[in-house]
Amino acid sequence: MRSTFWMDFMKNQQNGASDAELVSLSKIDPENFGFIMERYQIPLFHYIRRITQYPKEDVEDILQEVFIKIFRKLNEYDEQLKFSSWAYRIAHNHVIDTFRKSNARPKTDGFDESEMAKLLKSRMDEEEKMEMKDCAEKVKECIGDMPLKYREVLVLRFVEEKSYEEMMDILKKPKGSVATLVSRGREILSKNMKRKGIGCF
Amino acid sequence: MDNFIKKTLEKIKEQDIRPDSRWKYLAKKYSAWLVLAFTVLFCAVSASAVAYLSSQLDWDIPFLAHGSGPFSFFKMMPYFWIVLAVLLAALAFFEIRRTERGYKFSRMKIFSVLFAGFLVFGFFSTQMGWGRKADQDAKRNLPFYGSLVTTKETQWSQPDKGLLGGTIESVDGNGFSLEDFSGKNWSVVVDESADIRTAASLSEGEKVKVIGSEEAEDVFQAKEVRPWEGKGLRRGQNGNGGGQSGRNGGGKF
Repeated sequence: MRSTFWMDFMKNQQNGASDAELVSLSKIDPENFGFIMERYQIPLFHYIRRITQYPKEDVEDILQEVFIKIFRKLNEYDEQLKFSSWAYRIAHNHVIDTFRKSNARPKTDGFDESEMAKLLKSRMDEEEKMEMKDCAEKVKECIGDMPLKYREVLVLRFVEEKSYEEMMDILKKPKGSVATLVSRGREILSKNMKRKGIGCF
Repeated sequence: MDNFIKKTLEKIKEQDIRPDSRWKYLAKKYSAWLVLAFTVLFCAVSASAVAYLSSQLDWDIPFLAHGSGPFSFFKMMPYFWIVLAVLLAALAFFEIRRTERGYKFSRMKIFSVLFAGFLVFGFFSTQMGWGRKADQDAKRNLPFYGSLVTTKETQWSQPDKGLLGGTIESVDGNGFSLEDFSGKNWSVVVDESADIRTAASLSEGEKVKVIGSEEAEDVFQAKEVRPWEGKGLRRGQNGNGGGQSGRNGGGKF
């Protein structure tokens, strides 16, 4: 009874701790790393799913590898950087490594409809969502056809809704390069959609 | 997903995975900065070599040695060192970009920092004579160096174009005997019309530069004799006060 109370108390304490505090605690006891995972497993899971467009099981495998990498690199964490940006950066690098190693092509089932709408709103702010379901499949194909670097910036900017500063930290690229990638990505998506005759958005 | 956290923590414990030590990370970080410092230093040495070679060449005679076209001046530029300095500067730029926060700096900021670095290291390198040493080392160790860079020696080893340099072996009434940089002996004829620059010292063991024409295989007619250092317009320019002076340079040859 006392033990359960104590564990709950600790959990509440850890949940209120900052990321930097949790990093310090995780270095002492790996159990504390569980609180970091609890905080970031869902956002990182979706981020990896969106950029790889892999099925859930594969995404979970990658996510586990990402968390282990984060754990290994805990001593590298610089508190001046947002922990989330640092974690996303590690995930981004790991996904690129995974693609390189397996020479894999992304699949096209990584976006749900609301995410698709966010992406397409980036192209046309005022247009209404129409015939979403029918059109979504074609759009997924267009996104799947895009090179990873463009797909990723569109996901970060319009689905994850990251600021340019955060995108710079995640991608480790200067602001100008990030802005160019976003603009070029939007252009490619727009062209792909035109080529495939998608006019439903 | 709770199960996911549990499984990941179990894996960490089972495989005894631990955070990499901080010193390993710091060693990596500081070695990158060390490589950058060396790159900037080598770039500055290359720039010093450009300055050294440029200061050594006689820029008033490109039309003689390199033709009379508008590009004759540019043929004398020490491109080897210029290209090396530019490549090293580009490398330093990318090394800064690859540092932990390099991506946050604008190009202008990086170039300003690099420029300041080159100035500091360049001044230091010039003071230490590293530009001259780099040129000498390259001459000794790089077989293709002579064909890439116009050095003072190559500039004054073109008797067919009227430029001859070397060390005076002996002096006689008609002129002097000179050993050029390939070890060949020349009989240099100095007549009354020759301009012997004020600071030129025509005595045994002195290094001189002669502008004139190749009269025979080992005979060179001098029109102008300069000390090895500088143009020799001022007495003492070569640091030895001129010694014997020519007819037109003041004093009897």
